[in-house]
Amino acid sequence: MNLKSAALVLVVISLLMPPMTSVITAVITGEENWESVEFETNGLKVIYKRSEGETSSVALFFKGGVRNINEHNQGIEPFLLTLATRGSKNYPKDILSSELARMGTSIGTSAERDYSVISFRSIDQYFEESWSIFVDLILNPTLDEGEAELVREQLISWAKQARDNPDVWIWRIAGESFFSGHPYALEPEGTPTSLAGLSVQDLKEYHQEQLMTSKLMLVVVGDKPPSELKKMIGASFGDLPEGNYEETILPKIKSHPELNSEGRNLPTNYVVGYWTAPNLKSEDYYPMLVATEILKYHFWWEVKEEQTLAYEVYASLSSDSSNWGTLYVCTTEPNEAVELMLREIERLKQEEVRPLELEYIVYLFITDYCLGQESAQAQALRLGHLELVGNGWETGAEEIEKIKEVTPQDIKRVTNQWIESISFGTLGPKGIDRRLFLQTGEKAVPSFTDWLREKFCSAACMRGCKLV
Amino acid sequence: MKSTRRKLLAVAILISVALIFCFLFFTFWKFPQEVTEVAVISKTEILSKELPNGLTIIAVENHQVPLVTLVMAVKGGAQVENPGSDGLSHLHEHVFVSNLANVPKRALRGQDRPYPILRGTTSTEYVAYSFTVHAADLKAGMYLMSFGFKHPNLRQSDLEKEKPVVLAEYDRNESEPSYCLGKAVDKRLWYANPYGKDALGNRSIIAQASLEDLRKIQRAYYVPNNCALIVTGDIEPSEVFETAETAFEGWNREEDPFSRHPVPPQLPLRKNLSVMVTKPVSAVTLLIEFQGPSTFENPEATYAADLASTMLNNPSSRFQKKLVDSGLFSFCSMSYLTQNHTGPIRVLTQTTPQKFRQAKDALLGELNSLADPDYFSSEEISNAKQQIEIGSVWERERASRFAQTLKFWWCSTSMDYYLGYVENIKKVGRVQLSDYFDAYVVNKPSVRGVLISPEDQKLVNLREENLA
Repeated sequence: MNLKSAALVLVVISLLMPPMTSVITAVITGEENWESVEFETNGLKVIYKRSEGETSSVALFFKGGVRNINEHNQGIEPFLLTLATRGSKNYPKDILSSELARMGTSIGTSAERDYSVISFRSIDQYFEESWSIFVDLILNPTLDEGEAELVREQLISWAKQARDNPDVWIWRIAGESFFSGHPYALEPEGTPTSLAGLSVQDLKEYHQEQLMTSKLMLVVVGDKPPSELKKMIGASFGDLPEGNYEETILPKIKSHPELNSEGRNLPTNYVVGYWTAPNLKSEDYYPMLVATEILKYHFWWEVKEEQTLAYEVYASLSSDSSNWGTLYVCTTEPNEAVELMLREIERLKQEEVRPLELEYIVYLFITDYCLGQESAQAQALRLGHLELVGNGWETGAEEIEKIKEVTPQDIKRVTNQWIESISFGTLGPKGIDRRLFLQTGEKAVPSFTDWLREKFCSAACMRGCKLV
Repeated sequence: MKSTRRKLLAVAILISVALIFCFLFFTFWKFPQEVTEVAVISKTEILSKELPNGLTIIAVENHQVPLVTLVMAVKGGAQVENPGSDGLSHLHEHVFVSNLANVPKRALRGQDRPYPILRGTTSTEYVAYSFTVHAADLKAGMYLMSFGFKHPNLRQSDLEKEKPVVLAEYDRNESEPSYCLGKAVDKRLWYANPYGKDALGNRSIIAQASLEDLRKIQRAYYVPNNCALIVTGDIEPSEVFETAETAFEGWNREEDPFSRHPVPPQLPLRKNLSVMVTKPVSAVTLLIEFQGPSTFENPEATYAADLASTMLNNPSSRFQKKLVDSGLFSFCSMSYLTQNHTGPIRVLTQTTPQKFRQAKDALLGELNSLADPDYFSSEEISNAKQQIEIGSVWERERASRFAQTLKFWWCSTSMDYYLGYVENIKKVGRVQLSDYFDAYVVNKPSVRGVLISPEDQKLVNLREENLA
């Protein structure tokens, strides 16, 4: 090849190559548009959200929750995941903890009623190294016998200690009658008896059963380009079997007036009440969420501010697939406090709330919603929750609008429809008025309009924003 | 002519080779990773300014979510109390929150009314008032805060209303067994001045408090030169500083409250003390507390204390291997609380009644060997330093939480201390670690507290004197 031919070939090659600047621009432009995306790798659903902070988070969800367990193996998922985080084939315990310390990466697990999660958070600089560890812990955990005994002892100790703290135990007391007969009566965290009966062989078999991509879901919040992420996920989870896991639908919890009381010599009394509530897939969920927020405010005002009967009182709405709402009060006068709370529920059933009150609730919801978006990890867990329990991770972007659309009529309707009866649990020294707690008596209901006029003038609304 | 063509061909070849080289270089060459110290330093800037009246304004930009968090930190809390005012800083905080909630609309200077959830917190060395609002309500939030501090209106009706609420908080805390253990140990550790370390205080003092008692606290400590306003989130710092100058104008500097009322020193513990708390609990909790360093007197030791705690709590540390991996304790943690006036060093552990004696002896032996020069490996020290440095990125990820972090450091140390914290941690070596343990832990008097059930106490025949 003479010089002329060589030059011609080189010029052609160089001209055929896309100019560097345009390659880079194209990639960046393309991925800037990928703020949030969903894709699948070998049957593994992946949700990715771009975050411009300095941190990243990854959460691997194991679908099923209580659907996967029975009375005898309750707690198997937290036991397995906790043990898995103690060491793996390529990262034995000492190396693992040393590496995590060096990178400031933390790995956590949790067992919920509808799923379990193993997650990590790292600064962006150590994302890839943290990912390697995370994957190895999931795919190749050591599941060492000696380590398993240490983990078992800790889990049993914690399970037993639920009874020690009245603020924890009251939820078990109230839940015992409310969840009776429902799969949620099982404890995802396990009981001392079930945890004691699980062998390392049980854990190893369970681990193998879970590792199919149809049973897993991955959420990533960070700034790794999706194209790179796809390669990493493919290389890590590409060999897993896909399986054919399909999630069963759990029945609705049947709520009925119940009272489960435990006497204990304490300086105060604890009360929790459960009622059946719409889940995230229901159109009633957001109206119920607003109704619960309004109840929370009314409880606080009447029980704490006006009657000074409690330090802590509230209402809350869960977001599990078989859903419920709750009321809680810690008081020396449980009968008086609960009477006031039941009266507020009746008020909400009979009268429509004022627009000003709705405006207040929407403002607070937006504040809470945004606070939940502050960290990459919180975002990852929320996206996964919406995908598995709600109508999809994309609905996260619509939550504020859905709250804004709630009307006073919606609130009245859902309160009447859903808060039919409350199942109570009490703990403490005080005698409980069974007639009141079983909601069998007549209820005197003062005019809601009078109450609003007195409490809800414009100036008082800001005062009402107090929580200490 | 021929030579010109040759020259052109040569240039074309050179350009082509250069283009190919560039393509290959940018495609396949991996840039070396940035050095750790550059990469892990958070990008967050912390700006502060002192107003002419002495009020410190701290502003931190974080545009992750459209919210702004405001925290007014007041140096005070339990440390300024005496036998006659034990618990009044906390009661005052409750009444002062009512004052903030009652700020009239005119105070907002035409801004739309925000709906903040006002929170008050009282600790050993600070009282703080905080709320989060939408970013558009920054000015309204600043005006609300400034009006409440410039024109405090402590009302008798609010005092009467808050007394039972504070007593209910007292009851709730006393219902928790672990709180009772902590209180019993603290009472002995700070034997000379327990009021200065107990924010909740004394029931009868709270019940008998007058409005004048609270006004004394207000006049002495709620002065601009004893306060800092911390504003974090979706802000422009220049707007924060400008608004603060206007909003807090007219709030006048007063004499430094701590010059007039110096905090009485905590006298050194002369001998080991022990206490047993019996409650219906399932595990045996052993809490050992030492009097640790003060930032006021020995700031160097506080850095060593934090580095040491980080290393000891690492799962692969010798401390954890000997005490937890051996099966003696289900968990064992060591911590130091940074305080201007003598912070506590706490060793919190849990075990079973059967293992208690052996576990306690092993723990005491291990504590006494912490000053050994080779107790920690170089790798452990290096990893822990990096862990703390990266921890500062996590601290800053959530703007609302970071405001609370800054409040703590400003009150118990200073902004200079906080800003130099990571660099000072890096300076700690084996000598400083040994000095710290020698000065505060090894063979030093401590208070040993045990929380145990009456049944377990009988079972193992445990008495207070066995703990010494």
